[in-house]
Amino acid sequence: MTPEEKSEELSRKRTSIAALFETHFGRVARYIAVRIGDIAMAEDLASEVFVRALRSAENYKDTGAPMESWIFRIAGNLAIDHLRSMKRRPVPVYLDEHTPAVDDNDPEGTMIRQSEIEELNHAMQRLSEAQRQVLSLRFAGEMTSEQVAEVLSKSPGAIRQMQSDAVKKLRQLMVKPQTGQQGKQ
Amino acid sequence: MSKDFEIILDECIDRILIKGATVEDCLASYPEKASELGPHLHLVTRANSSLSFTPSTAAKDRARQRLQAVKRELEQKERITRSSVPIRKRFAFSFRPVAVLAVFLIIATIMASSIGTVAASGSSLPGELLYPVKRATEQARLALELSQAGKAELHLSYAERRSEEISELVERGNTQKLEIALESLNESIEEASRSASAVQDSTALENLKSQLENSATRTIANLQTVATKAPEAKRSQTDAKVQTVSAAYGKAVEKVASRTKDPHTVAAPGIIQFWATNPPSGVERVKIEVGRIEAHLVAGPESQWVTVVSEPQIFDLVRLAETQKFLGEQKAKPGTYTRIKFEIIRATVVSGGKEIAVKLPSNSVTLVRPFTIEEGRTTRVFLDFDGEKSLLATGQAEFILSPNVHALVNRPAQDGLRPEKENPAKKPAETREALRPPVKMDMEGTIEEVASASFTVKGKSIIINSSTKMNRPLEKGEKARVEALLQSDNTIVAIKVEMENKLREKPTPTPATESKRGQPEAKPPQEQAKKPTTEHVKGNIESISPPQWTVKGREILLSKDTKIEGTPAVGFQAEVEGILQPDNKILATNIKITGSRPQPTPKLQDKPAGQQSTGQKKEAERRTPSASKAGEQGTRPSPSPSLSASPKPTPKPSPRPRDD
Repeated sequence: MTPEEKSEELSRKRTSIAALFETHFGRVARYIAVRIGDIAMAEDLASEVFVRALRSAENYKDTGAPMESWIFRIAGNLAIDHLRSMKRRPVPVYLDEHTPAVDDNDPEGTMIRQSEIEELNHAMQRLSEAQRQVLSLRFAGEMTSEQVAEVLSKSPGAIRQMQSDAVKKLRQLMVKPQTGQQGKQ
Repeated sequence: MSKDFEIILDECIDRILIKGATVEDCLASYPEKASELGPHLHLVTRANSSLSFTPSTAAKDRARQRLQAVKRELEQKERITRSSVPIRKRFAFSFRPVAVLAVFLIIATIMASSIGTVAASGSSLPGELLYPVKRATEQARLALELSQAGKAELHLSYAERRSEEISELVERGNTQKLEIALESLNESIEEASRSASAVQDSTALENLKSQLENSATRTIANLQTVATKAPEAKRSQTDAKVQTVSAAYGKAVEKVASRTKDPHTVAAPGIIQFWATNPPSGVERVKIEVGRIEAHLVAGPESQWVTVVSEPQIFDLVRLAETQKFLGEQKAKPGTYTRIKFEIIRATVVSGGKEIAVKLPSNSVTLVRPFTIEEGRTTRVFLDFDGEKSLLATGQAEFILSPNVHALVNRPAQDGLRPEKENPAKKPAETREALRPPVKMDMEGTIEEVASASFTVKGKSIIINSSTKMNRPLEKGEKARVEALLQSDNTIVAIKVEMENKLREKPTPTPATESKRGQPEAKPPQEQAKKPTTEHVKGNIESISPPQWTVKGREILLSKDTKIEGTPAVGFQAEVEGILQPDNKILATNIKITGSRPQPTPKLQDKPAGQQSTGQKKEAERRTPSASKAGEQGTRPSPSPSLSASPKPTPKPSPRPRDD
């Protein structure tokens, strides 16, 4: 490949990333939110996902899989890094001061959503890492089982099985503490 | 759970999540499975409802602006790269007997350390033929070093070497040895800490603490850059290692700091002061309002953010060209602080007489910069805004502030606590400027002017002296990368100038020694004044406070290029050769320790004076490189805003349906 062709290819990749940003920013933010349980931080990390993608576009190899799978892999890595860095902090000072972002137009709604995300995230901590990834990509990333299989390099059948086990376990975790209460619809 | 059920559940989840069907719709399609399927689908709906937020338009706008800024930056870098020819080519050997050659070269090292092959191994990288020689040479030097302080210094210099190797490995895309190199870096820091813990002499401990802090700043900044360039697969590992390295430095600084405390000092809080400095160009005013400034204290198992400045402060970055702005101070618990965090509330630019609101991609900036607060002493932290990099013009009358800030920390003031009413902001400019140590800075740009002893890049005049290294003579209109020292009087002295390679027909004379071709012979008076004047001072060393010494009443500045012959100590006689600076200080090029200590005085070494004088010359030769490193008080600016500044979440989601 000549330097000009390389340059053109890189430019195409970057344009694709910019296009994915427009269509997938929300999904990536929701995916990270469900992984880390924090909406405001998820928005910042989602921004970082696309910046990282842009910076490493050169290393992206087009293997036929959609580019979004690669974007979600970066998002997954960032979410894991964030969780690790939070664990490393000896005293949760940052957490204490880190109040959920509140929408001035709907502060109550924002608080409720934050609390729901935290509850979901809390329950998902009891699942295996693979199960967490499957549900996060399905629910928040709005991916089909086939797309999740691409991201996680597994077969669609394996993904469906993990999904089924995960939903069953999550149901047990989320229903038990609320016996007598009606689940949110 | 049967396979059929998994498929049905999957299909129903698709219908609910992607096509917007209800649970009832799905159950109607599979009445025989309704009792089993229903509870699962209700849970899916509930989870889906929890995730029904959409990032706010403001958050997405900020992310878009950041993305566009990064895209522009990358494209600009590539344009520069494409227009340049590779600076160096490396040679590869194809034969195998590495071990045999290494043994031979180790012997060669011991027999005659100036053999060219050993020197060549200095630039080798992990996995390369000569790398074992490089490491063996380091071990040999360590074995020859007798003092613990010297060993600690050597380990620190090796830590920085490992950091440079890591950077080079990533640049070349060779990441197989990355983990090993990071491990070696960590080991060097731990070894430095171990050696430092055996040092008894308080002056040597003070010096080591300062070197540790400077080494930490440079290494962590470098590794943060590396982490962003590492391949995706290695990134999380690299990030984790950077954290480990940062923690190792933090512990080492803390350990040394705890031993430098004077047991007779009355326990009292230290003081942290924050100052803002350094302007941009091309605009008339840049007003920045900063909010809370905090520093992160690590004290054993305790760890906390300490608020230093709580009231918002406004300053004009352009005016910082002439002065520095005092932002605030606070009494603080003594200990090691590893990070600094501050908020930017708003920023405006005055350009062409018009005030324009500047967009802020992030409101929070976090800097990794370990420093120590000592009991009863004042530590000044300079938030050095790189105006050129911080303010991005994104279009017509549109600016983004992407703060590129380096934290520069001076050593704790020796004169104890500052009286409360003495406001440093009201002190004369000369006094305030004298507080700032020389700062290492990197610049890149087109050479606008070349004079006999200076040149101009981005409108800034840079002085060349006999220590300035250049890959070839300077030429107007060509691009150059400059490593320089920003002196306390704001003059810039070049350490290294790297010109982009271009095919040329014949070499031109070095501007430091001869006039440039086609330049008028008569120089403007200002340029004449900057012509380096060599100074020579001989006398007793009166004080050593890196990067500055006092010899016979004269202030001597040291840089990493300063050559030191002999073991320096207060009271020893020294012959200094150097370049006279505009502030009358001497930037030393060569220092020769000629005499022995006339009377017992505090010393730099951690050995008894008797032992020093007997093996002085031999030891001094071994110590020279690390001793000159002690002069590097200046800190390397952190590489980019996104690396040095970790954004704090502030965006606000709005309750809207999903519509990316």
